[in-house]
Amino acid sequence: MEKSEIESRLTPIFRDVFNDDALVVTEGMTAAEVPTWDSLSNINMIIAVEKAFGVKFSIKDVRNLKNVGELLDLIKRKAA
Amino acid sequence: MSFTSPLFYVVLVPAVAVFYWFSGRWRAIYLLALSYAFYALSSRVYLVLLIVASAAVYALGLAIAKSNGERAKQAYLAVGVAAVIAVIVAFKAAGAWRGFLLPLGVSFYSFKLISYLIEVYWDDEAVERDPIVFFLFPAFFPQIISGPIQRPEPFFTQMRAIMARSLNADQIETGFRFILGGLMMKTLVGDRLGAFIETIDQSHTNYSYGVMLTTVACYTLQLYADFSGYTNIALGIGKLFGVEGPPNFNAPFLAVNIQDMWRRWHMSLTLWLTDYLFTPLSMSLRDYGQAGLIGAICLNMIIIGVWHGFTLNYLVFGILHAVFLSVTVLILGELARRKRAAGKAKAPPTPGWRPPGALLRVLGAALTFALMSFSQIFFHSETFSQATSILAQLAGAAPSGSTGWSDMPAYFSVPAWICMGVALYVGAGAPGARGLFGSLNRTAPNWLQYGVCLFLLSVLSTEGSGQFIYGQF
Amino acid sequence: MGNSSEPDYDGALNGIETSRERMAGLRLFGVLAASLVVALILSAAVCLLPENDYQKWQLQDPDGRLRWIYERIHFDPTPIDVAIVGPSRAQLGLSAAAIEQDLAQRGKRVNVANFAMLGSGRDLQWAILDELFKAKSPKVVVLEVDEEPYPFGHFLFKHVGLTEAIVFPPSPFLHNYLYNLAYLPIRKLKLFGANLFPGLFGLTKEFDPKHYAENRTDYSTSFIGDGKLVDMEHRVSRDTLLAEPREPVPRTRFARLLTRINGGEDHLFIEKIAREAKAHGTQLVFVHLPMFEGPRTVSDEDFLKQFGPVLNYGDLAPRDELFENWSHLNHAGAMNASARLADAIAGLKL
Repeated sequence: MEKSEIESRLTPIFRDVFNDDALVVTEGMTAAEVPTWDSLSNINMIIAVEKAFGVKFSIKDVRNLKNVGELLDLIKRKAA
Repeated sequence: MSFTSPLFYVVLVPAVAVFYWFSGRWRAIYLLALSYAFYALSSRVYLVLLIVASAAVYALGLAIAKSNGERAKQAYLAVGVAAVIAVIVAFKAAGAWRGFLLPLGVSFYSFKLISYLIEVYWDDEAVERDPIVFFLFPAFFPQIISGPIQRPEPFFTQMRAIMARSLNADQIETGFRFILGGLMMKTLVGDRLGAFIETIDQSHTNYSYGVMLTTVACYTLQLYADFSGYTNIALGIGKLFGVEGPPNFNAPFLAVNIQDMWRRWHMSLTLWLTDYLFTPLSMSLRDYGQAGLIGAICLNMIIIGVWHGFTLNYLVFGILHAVFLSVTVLILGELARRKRAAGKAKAPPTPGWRPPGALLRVLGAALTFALMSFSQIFFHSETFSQATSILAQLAGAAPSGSTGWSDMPAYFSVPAWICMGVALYVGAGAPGARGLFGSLNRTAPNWLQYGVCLFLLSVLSTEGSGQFIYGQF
Repeated sequence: MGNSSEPDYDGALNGIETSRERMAGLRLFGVLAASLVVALILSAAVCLLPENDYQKWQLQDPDGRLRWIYERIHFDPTPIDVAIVGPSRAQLGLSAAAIEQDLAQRGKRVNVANFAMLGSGRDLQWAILDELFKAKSPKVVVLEVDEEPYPFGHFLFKHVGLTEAIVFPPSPFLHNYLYNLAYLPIRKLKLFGANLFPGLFGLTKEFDPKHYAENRTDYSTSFIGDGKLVDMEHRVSRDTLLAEPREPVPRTRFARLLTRINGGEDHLFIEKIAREAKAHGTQLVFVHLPMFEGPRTVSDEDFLKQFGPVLNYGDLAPRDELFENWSHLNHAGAMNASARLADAIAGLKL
């Protein structure tokens, strides 16, 4: 799977979990930029991503994610 | 030594000067010695505990980083975390059930040590091999008394930086400003409100309903003034030594719901629990959906409660917030679902008046403040019976007294109202203050402002009155 | 670096770094010093504010003994022939009314006022006597003395001491010098506000005879202090008295050093009292009221003798039936001491 494809599939998930229809997912995006992205919605996002891509993350995987770009890399690695 | 005693600052100024007279690694060694000396003033016995705990975690950190197997790493982590938690639990239990005095800062430095072990477990690179830099982490005296709880990595990085770089005059001056502002908040507002509250609390049944209601609101305001003041002093002292610490408060009275409030109140503690307890726990429970999430939230909040002490009051405080937060999350989740469903169905806008967003925010903030103050009845009261007694009076189950605001002397109630106003204003983010300070900075030089603040600190602080003078009979 | 013949650029740059650092450090010190100077100037300026004396004596407690003392001196026209000052031992252990009665029976009309206050510290007693000499002409002043002179000043002196007395004390090495001085700007500002808005601050400027009359003047009978009953009539057993914890006078090394340097605050202020008494033709008398089973001698008796007779009632020490607690006489003890004091006063050539 290509990162651009992952990114396009991620967009509706993000918009749903973070409750923002205008959200545009970019590689450099961080939680700090999205007001509704906190520890609770983060978990919901992880669950939704796992379900959508059929992968399972460990705490170590998600812990060090600094931005969406790293999440895309992680998904790509796991889905491969 | 208290951060509010003048003697502390008489010693601090030369201590900082000496720090910058040293260079390189000597700065860290000196700071460690200073921190241990500071701790020894409180208790030499517990200093040994601090050193032993630091040494144990240091060794375990190295062991985790060195070992290759996942099993070994987990074992070291488990032993370390369990040992530190055992120490906390033992002291807190002894403190609650036998009136034992806890070692200074044990709740805070133990959390620092646990976070270090977990960080090293998650990433070997996080290990700190330099013993001086590592031992400084739990002992760093500006943060030892009541936090804030800093993370290992920012501390280690800054320690290394300060060993190499020259002093940053702006940072030091900012530190001085933080100390000044913190002292003013703590002693002029927090202590005064504290004295007011104490007088009312002693015979709260004598006071009218209105007075009691305001006093309960004061619990929150006083705690904010006191703790945010202390935090700023701690951050300021840290800045004097070139260390930036994490904030604890972010305009908490602007919070529109309980979830928002915990993102703004005692932030270093809530973020710690989020990263090391809530997130891993909710990750493990994610297969249980909503129930798992609520479970994680409840455990998180109960631990926030009992972290303060193993008393019924703190437990009730934790449970209350578990309930508040769970309900908030469920309601907000449901509202969002409905909103999205309405959006997807592209239904026509519902007719009728919708309250403007600003009004909703104000109502939300007021409700959040009310819920927080309600829980403060338990957090603040010395005993459970005191808390229920106050609660009974507020619920109308017990009678209120007749002493109202007009019955109190002006010199008692007026300062209290002023302090409440200041605490509320600052806690709401001090709107408009930035502009005020801007114009102030343009007219008056900094030393003049500081001088006036120092003067106000010396003349407006409450004297240690309340001498139990007849006690000698 | 080392023996290189090249110019030491690294060293020069390091030098600039350290000198820049030093400049920044000095500038910071300058800002700090300037701030302190500003604060000190403001504090000193505030100390120049005027005070209303009556309000000043209400500062510590608007319903307290200091206020009564001021009122007795300035608003009560009854003369004061004998004034008693001292700590609570004298407040409870000597009855002005009993002494007056005793002397009246001998045909001498004498007005006695007991101005003893709880807490030790000769400076406050001097402040009270200083105030007394402004309005009254006592013939005798009785000072209670303990077995050992108290090394420190009174913790309430900061409220009523004259501004000059606080800023320029008899010795700059008084234990409470900084403690009293630090309170002065607070007191000045409070009194300034109270002068403008007496109601807001709860310090009245008008004398209220009814409030004055309600004050307790004699503590040799049972009374309520801080919500607790102090029973002056009940007999306390010897064992109970012996078992009571005795509060030692804190004598840290620093405190002892200051005492050595300043020569003893108790003596400094006794000398001041003696000077004022002499100027007003007033006789000084010293009275020793002992602790239960405490020392019977007065250690600085030789010093005191130069200013007046020392009446040593140390023989009361073993008599448990005369004590209310380890350091205070009860009613019977007060009557005993008062009778002896009346006797001594009667014998003075006035």
